[in-house]
Amino acid sequence: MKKLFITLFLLCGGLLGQAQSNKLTFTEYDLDNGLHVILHQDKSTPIVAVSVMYHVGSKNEQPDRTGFAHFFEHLMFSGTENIAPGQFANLVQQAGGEHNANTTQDRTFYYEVLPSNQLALGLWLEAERMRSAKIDKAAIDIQRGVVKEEKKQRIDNQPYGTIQEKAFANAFTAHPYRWVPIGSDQYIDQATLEEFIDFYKTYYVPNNAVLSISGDIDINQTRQLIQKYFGPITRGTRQINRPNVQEPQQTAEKREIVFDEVQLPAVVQAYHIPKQNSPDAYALSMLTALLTGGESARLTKALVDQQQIAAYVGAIPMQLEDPGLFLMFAVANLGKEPEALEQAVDAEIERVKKEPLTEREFQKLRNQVETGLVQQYTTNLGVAEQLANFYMFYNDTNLVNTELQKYLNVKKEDITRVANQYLTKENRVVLHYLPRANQR
Amino acid sequence: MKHIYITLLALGLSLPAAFAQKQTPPPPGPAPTINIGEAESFDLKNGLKIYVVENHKIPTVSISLILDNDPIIQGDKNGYVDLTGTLLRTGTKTRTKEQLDEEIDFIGAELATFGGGLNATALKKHLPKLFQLTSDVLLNPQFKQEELDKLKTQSLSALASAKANPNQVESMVRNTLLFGKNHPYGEVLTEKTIENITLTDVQNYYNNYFRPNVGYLAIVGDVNTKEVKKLVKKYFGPWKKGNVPQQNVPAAAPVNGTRVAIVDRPGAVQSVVSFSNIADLKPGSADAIPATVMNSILGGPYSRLMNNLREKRAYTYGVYSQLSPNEHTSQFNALTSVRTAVTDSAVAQMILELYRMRAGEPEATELQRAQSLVSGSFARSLESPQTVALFSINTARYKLPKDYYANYLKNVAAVTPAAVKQVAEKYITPTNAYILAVGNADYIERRLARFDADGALEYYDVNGNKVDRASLEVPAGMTAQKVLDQYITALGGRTNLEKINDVTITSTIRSPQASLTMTQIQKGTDKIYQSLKYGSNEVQRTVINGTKGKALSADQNRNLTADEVREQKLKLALTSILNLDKFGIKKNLLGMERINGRAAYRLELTMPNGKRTIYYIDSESGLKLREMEIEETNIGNATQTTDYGDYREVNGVKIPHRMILHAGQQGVLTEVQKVEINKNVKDDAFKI
Repeated sequence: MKKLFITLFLLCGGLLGQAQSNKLTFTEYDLDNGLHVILHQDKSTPIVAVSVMYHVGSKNEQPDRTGFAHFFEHLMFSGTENIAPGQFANLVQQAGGEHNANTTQDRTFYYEVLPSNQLALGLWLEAERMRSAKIDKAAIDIQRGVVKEEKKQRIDNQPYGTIQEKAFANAFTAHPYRWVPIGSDQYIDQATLEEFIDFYKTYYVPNNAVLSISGDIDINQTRQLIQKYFGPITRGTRQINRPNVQEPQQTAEKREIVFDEVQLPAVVQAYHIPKQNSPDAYALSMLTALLTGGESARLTKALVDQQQIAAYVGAIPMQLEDPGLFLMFAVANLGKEPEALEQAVDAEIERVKKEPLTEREFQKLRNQVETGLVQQYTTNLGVAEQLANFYMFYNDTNLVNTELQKYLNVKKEDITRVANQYLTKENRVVLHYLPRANQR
Repeated sequence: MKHIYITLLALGLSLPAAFAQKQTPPPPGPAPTINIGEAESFDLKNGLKIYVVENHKIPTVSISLILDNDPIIQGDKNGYVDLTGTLLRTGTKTRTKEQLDEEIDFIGAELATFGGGLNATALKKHLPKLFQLTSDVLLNPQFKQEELDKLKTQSLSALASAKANPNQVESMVRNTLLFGKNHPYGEVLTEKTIENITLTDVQNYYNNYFRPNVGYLAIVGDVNTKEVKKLVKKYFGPWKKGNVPQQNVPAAAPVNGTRVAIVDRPGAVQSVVSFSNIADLKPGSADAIPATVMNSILGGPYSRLMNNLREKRAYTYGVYSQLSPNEHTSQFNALTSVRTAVTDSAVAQMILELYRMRAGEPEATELQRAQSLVSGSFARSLESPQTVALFSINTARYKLPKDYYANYLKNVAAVTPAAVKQVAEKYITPTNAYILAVGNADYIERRLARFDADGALEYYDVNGNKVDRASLEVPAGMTAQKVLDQYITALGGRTNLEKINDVTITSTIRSPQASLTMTQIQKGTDKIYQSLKYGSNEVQRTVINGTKGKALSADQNRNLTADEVREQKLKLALTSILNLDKFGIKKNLLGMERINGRAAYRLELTMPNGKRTIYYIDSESGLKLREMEIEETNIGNATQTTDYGDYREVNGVKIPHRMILHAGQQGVLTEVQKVEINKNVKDDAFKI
C-alpha cells in the first residue's frame, strides 16, 4: 500500500513537471514598418510553418463589393514582380511544401508549411506577396471563374450549404456581417482594376499584418532573414476602413423557410452574441459544450438519443471581432417534422435556462475545454495561427498559455446566466430547411 | 582578350541595375535529417500486437485499434459491419449508453468505434480511465435491440442525407459501377438492407471478427513504454483469441469499353463528374511509389489537371485524381465539380490529360517537382506521431520489407520518367472506364453522348440501379384536348369538379420579408373573393362578380377591365378549366419539356386578347406542375412562373397545397392551410 502511494506521488510530480514544460514560449516584436512578428521554436520535426495574417475580411468590404476579401485571397497566388504567373505553387511544391489560405469575416490567413531548411523561401514568398503582388486583368479574369465555381461547389450545390449566408443575412441589418466572405458573384464582375489595386495598397501592408512562424528554426537567424525580406517593405499610408457599425438590437424573432436539395428538414437557430473578446465569450463557449459537446451533452442526448427526433445536432458560437452569432443546427430524423424538432430544441434551451448545472456536469465542461485547448497546439501550423490570432484580436499573444485560466474563471452560474441573456426568442433568427421536393 | 575583358566589365557595371529588379527565390539550407522515429512493439499472449510511440510535445495520448479483417460481402443485410462497430459504443455489461457517454465526456475524451476498430484520445492525466473505458467497450459489449433500432433509424437518416449530396452519390454509384453489386466494394446500402439487420447479425460479426489475434493496437503520445505495457496487459490481456474466418475477395473485371453514365439531379447548378477504372495496385509493390509520383503529376494539389481545368480555364474550384494501393483490388479515378454549362468541355480536358499522361514521359522539372511534393508530404506527415505507429503497423500488416519507410525518400528520388509513363499506361485505362456525371441530365446528356464508345448513355438512380429515361417525344396521337382531359381526370374528373358549388381556401404566404394570410372564396364559375391580410390588417382585396371586378388596396380602389376579369377567373376559379371554350380560350400542344426531372406536356392557352399562359402537365400523373404567364411588353416578353405541388384530395378533387411563385431569385411560397367545400357561401360575400 505504501509503495502504491509513493508511485502515485511520483506520477503526480511528473505531471506537474510536464505541465510546466508545456508552456509555449515565443518571441515577438515589431519591424520599423509596423509588421508584427511572432516566433516559436519547436525542434521535434524538421519542418516550419510560415504564416501571415492580414487584418482584413469581408466586414471591411463595401455593400456593393461583397466577396472582395475572399477574392483577393485567390488573387494573391497569381504571382508577383519576381514570381511568374502560376509559379507560386510550383516554388512551394518544388520545396516539398504545402500552402493555402482562408478568409473569414475579420481576417485573411496565408501559410506555407515547409521543410525547415526552406524557411528563407517561405519568408521570401510571403514578402513578395506583401510587396509586389501581380494584380492584372488576366489574373483577375481567371480567378473570377474559379471563385464562382467555389461558391457553387461549397455553397449552392451542397445540402444546407447556405446556412451561414441565410443566418447572417437575416440577423444583421446594418453591420457588414450581413454578408458572408464568399459574397455575391456579380460584384466581383463589376469591380475595376483600380479598385483591386486600391484594396491591395490599403490592406496588404506590413502595418496591417502579423507574421507568425512556428517550427524547427533558429530565432536569431530567423530575425535576420525577416529583416532582410520584410524590412524594406514600406508602411501603408491609406486609410483602413474598420467598420464602426452598431447593429441595432433585434427586437422580434425573424424566420425564413429555405427550400434546398436536401432529404431531411433542418432547423437552424441563430442568436446574437457579444464580440469574441467580451467577458461572456468563455461562458458562451462552455454553454456550447453543455448543449452539444459529446454524446452526453444536453441537446445531443435528448434529441438524438432519447427522443430520436434529430439525426444530428450541433452548435457553434461564431464569435467574431464584432458581435457575432451563436448558431445551432438540428437535422430531423427521417419522417420527423421541423416544427416538432424546433419545439424539442426550444424545450432543451428552456431547461438550460431553468435547471442549474450539476457539479459533475460543470466539471465535465472544464475537462472538455482543457482537452480542446491542448489539441489546438498539435501542429506547427495550429500554433502559428493561434499566436497570430491572439495578438491580432486580443492584443495578448500570451493567451496561448493563459486562455485555459479564463475558462476556469467561469462560474457555473455564468453559464445559466448567458443562456438566459442571449438565447431568447426576440434575439434570434430561425431557418427551416425543407426538401425542394416539397415545393412540387 | 583584354578587349573582351573590358566589355564584360562594362556590362558588369550596367548589369546589377537590370538584375536587381528580378530576384530569384532564396536557395534552401542544408537538408535536415529526417528521423522517422521508432515504434516499440510487443505482442500479448492472445496475439494482439502493440505499437508504442512516445511523443511528449503535448500532454495527450491516443489509443487506436486496427482489425485486419478482409472486406466481406454483406448481401441483403449490407451495413451490419458498420453497425456492429457503432453499436459497440452503446453499452457494456456494466455501463448503459448513458453512463458510457457521461464517463467519456467527463474526462474530456473521445472514443469512437467502427467496423474495423476504434480510436480513443484523452489528456495524459486520464490515461488509466481511458484504458478502462476502451477495454470495457471492446471486451464486454452488451448489444441491445433498443440501441440497434436507434442506430438503424440514424443510418436511414444518414442514407437519406447522402442521397442528397452529389459528391456522396457520385462515390456510391461509381463504386457500384466499377465493382458490381456482388463485390464488397460495390455493394449497395439501401433502406431495405438496413431494415434487414438483426441483433444476431451484429452479435455474430462481433464474436467472429473482433479478436485480438487480428488486431494492431497503437498507443501514441505522452507515455512511456513501461507504463503502457502494464496497462495493456491489464486491460487487453483478458481479450480471448478466436478463429477469424478469411474471405476470398473476388478480383474486379475491367469495365467493358468507355461508358458514360448519368445520375440525374434536376436543376443542379454543378455537375460532379468522374473518370474511373479498375486498377490492381498492391501496397509495397514495385509500382506503388512510381504510381504515387505519377498521380501527383496528374492530379495532385498543383497538377496538370488543376493547371488545365482550374488555372487555365476556370471550369472548377478543384480537380484531383486518386490511385491508392489496396491489398485486394483498387481503382484509379479523377474527380471534379464543374458548372453545368461546361460539363462536356471539362470531361474533354480531363480525358485529354489522361491520354497525355499515358503518351509521354514527364519533363525532368515536372518529375522533380512531383518528387519534392511526395517527399515533402511524407516529411510533414511525421509531425503527427500517429504516422510513425501507422508505418510500423503497415510494415507488419502488408509484410513490407523492414526498411520500407526508411528507404521511402530514397526510392521516391529514384523514380525515372520512364517509370512514370509505364505506370500511367498500366493503371489508367481510358478504353475500359466509366465517365460518371451527377448533374442536370436535361442539359448534359446530349453533350456527353460523344464520349461513350457506342453513344448509348446509361442512367442510374442514386442506388446504382439502372433506370429508363422518360422520352421527350410527344406520343403519336396526343392532342391538346387529350392533355386537357388527362389533367381534368387527374384532378378528380369532370363529375367531381362539377359537384363543387363553393370553395373556401385559406393559405399562408411566406416571403423573406413577411408572412401573409390569404383567403379565397369561389362560387360557381363567376364569383370570386380574395383577401390578403398581414396580421389583422387587410392589405389587398379582389372581388369578381359576373363580368365585373374590383381591386382594393391601400393606394388604389379601381374597377377591373373585362380582360382582367376573364384572366382572374381562369386563374382562380377551380372549375374554369372545364369551360375553356366558353371563355373563348384557344389551346395548343407545344411539345414536352422536363420540369424538375419530370417529363411534362406544354399546353398553351391563348386568351381572346392574345395573352398566353403555358400549363406544364406531368405526362405521368396528369397534374399541373407549373404555370407560366407570358406578358408581351414593348421590350420583350415578361414571364411569371408558378410551381404547383403537394396535391391533396378534398371532396374527391385534388387541390395543390403548395405553390411557389418565382419572382427574381427568391421564391414566394404559398401553403394552403384549409380547404372547405360546399359550405353554402352566401352571394353577399361577392358584392361589389
